[in-house]
Amino acid sequence: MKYWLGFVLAGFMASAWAAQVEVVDAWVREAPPNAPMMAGYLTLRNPGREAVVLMDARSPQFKKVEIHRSSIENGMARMEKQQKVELPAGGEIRFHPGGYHLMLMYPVKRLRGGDRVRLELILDGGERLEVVAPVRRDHGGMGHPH
Amino acid sequence: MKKKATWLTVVLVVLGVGLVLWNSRFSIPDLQMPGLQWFDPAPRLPASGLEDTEGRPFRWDWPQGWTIAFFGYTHCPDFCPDTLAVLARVESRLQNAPPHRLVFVSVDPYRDTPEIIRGYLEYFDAGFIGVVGPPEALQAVTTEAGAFYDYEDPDSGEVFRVPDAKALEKGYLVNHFGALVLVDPDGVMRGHLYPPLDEERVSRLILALQ
Repeated sequence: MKYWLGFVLAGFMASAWAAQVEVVDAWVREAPPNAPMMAGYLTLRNPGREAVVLMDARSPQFKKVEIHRSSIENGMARMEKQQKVELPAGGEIRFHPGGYHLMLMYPVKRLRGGDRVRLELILDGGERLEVVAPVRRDHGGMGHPH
Repeated sequence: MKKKATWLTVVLVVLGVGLVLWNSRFSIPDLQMPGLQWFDPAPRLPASGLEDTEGRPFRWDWPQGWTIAFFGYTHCPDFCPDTLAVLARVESRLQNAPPHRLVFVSVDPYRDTPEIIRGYLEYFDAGFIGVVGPPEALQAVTTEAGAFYDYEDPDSGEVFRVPDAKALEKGYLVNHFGALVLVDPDGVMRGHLYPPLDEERVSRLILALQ
């Protein structure tokens, strides 16, 4: 019993250490057949006292993953590749349609609603966060809930 | 002599920019909302040069009703699918809408073939009309429509009008006009609806296109 409790506590502390950053509401937009590019969205929370930087992302289900940010400037829709995204201490950043997103490039095989995408987020200091994001068909409207 | 030269310059500039404006026989729909811009007089969109995904010549004039055009590309993961999903949803829900058609014009003719565009659009709504054409024809239309676009290297930020072999292999981003372009039944470009393009705004617009 004592041994078991110690194990749980150690496990809890380890995960609190490593997973200082929380990832919630991760999802990937289902794309038309043969679409070469898909987009992944999630919310990153940093309850810690120090800023954390998202450096990179990858997924075994895509040839390449990049961090992008969409914007509309003077009526022009643009995307900009982000080298990193800083998560302020105690803050959160929402990746959503029309803003930050994970650009998921060249799926190894077609993904449909209900499938799951395994993502790995790489933070400064080399820490890795494993995320599983369900694929779902979206009704559009820049992330406004329907 | 000097005055003549100035006039000639003016005429050439006007022709070069393509700003030949028409007083259309169709009046501007009775709708005002933020981000909705109407034009009168307005440029007529060139009737030739582009084709639909079945290979038929595409014409901007369509006597049955108005045309709502979106200029995008199929390598677009975020803004284009979001907008097309909204348009599809509006189409499926809207009742008693005046006759209209939705047109997707690819501004990436170097990668978007008619087959690719057809498959892409069918996923959203089989009624969407896909349009593509040679870069020169596309440029003529986008200039008149005010629907500008260019290409960009995601790493260097270098902007270009024609992707070379290296860019095609590596991949590039497309910066493109994000508003809906509203064309009257005579093929005259009469308005722009700027984002946000949500269901409510797009529905109000389509219902007003009498």
